[in-house]
Amino acid sequence: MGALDQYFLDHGRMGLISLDSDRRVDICIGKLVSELSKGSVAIEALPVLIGLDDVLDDIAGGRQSELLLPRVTIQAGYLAGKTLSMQIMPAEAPKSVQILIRDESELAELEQGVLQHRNELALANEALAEARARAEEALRQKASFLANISHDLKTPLQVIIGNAEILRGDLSKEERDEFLEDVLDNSNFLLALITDLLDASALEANQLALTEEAIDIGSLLERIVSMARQIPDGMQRHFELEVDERSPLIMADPMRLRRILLNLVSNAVKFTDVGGRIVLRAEPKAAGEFIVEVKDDGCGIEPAMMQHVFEPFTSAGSQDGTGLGLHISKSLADLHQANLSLSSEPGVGTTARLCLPKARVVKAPS
Amino acid sequence: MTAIARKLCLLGDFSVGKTSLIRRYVHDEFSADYRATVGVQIHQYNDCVDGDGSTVELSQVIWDIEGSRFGKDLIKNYVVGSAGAVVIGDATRSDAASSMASHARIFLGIMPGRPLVFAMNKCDLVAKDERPQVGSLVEEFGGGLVYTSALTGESVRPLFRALGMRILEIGA
Repeated sequence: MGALDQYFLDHGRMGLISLDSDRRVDICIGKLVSELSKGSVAIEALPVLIGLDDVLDDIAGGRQSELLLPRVTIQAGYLAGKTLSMQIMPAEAPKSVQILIRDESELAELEQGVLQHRNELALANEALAEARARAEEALRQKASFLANISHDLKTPLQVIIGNAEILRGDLSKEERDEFLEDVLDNSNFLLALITDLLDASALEANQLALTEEAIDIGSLLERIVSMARQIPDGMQRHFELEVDERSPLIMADPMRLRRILLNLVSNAVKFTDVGGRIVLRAEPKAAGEFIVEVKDDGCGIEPAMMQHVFEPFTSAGSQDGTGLGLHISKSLADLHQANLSLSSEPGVGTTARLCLPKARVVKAPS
Repeated sequence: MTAIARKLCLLGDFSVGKTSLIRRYVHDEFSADYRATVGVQIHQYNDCVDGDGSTVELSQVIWDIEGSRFGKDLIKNYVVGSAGAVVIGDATRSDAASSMASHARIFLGIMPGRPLVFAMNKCDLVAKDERPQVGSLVEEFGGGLVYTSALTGESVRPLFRALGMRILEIGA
């Protein structure tokens, strides 16, 4: 036995047990196994040997050279709490075996730590890959948005320039009015588009401040219905207004609140057929909140689309618009600490619900 | 009452919940923190099992064997001498049956004729009608199939008791 082995024996890193033909402890050497009593039944002292009678007999009888058991953590009995490597081999005495035990608890602890770090690293890598995929998707959406928006900006501008060229020539009054009408329509579309873009980018940069005042919600909804009826498709929809007479005043930014509600009504017009029914309802809730609903009997939104409706640059099945309307409305509602939600059933219709918090209700219903 | 000691082993893929099952069984506890087992952990638990007309105190020395990395020779060193085995699968994995079959083959290759019981673990995470179909395992290898949850403790004790009874029954 070398000096190093002796050192390990003396310092509890190693132990040697010899078992006689009855598998009782015959010899034990080393601090690691010093508490084992000579003569004790080995199998009771070392549960790790349970079931191994045949193997021990084979080793003692020379039919098997040895049995190696690396990295065994004992959780019961003698040596409980230790991680050991064991080597069972023949002993000098006939029908006897000896077991060389190495304490590898510290090594196992280190290995467990490395394994733990490896698992955590794998999880972190997965999270990074997901974040990268999300970033790439956002980039793809922005690129696709840029392509669409360039087209949306260019087309009306081309109509305006083309019509202006034509208007230079000799035209009858009817023809002139018709071309001017086109110029106005396309200019208004451009203005709306640019306003959307500016608002969306201001909201994204948190640079949009509210100018608040007390608003009569009933009058606001009447104006919105009147505006919606002027949208070309709006003329062919049936609007109903249900405003509770006890409706209080609402403290909000009038321009922004009008924007939210007009967006909701425009969407309702867009997704209903000719003759479709759109109901605007406003009523206080018992808890003090105030609800404004825009309900239509249009085509509804597919469930798979519902989770994306408030994301920028998405449009639920329609090619019209920038795909920013609901995103802007949601952000404006958030700025008012209000909750904007949608519920929809394909083929039945959609309800948009704006829930204004109690703090924005300035005159309690009488 | 006669007390007898037997070695059992737990076999199954990486992260199917072998250590969680044994912790629930021996200490009646569960931790969601996952720590992969390095090497083998040896636990001991005494249970009273109904044997051939009498109740026997069975001292179960349970070897929880690491789910991966070991070569065939080393697995043999750990499994040898087992009176029976619990083969564990993960109910959330669709390929549970094939991996459980391969562990069952390894065990019976080392300890032919010894009983085994299949445990489909993490059954709390899967609706009853969505559990992987593993009936073919019982047909091919015999033994029973128990749906377990180390989280809730569902059927953990009956699982080990079923194996204990089978061991006593065939005198393994």
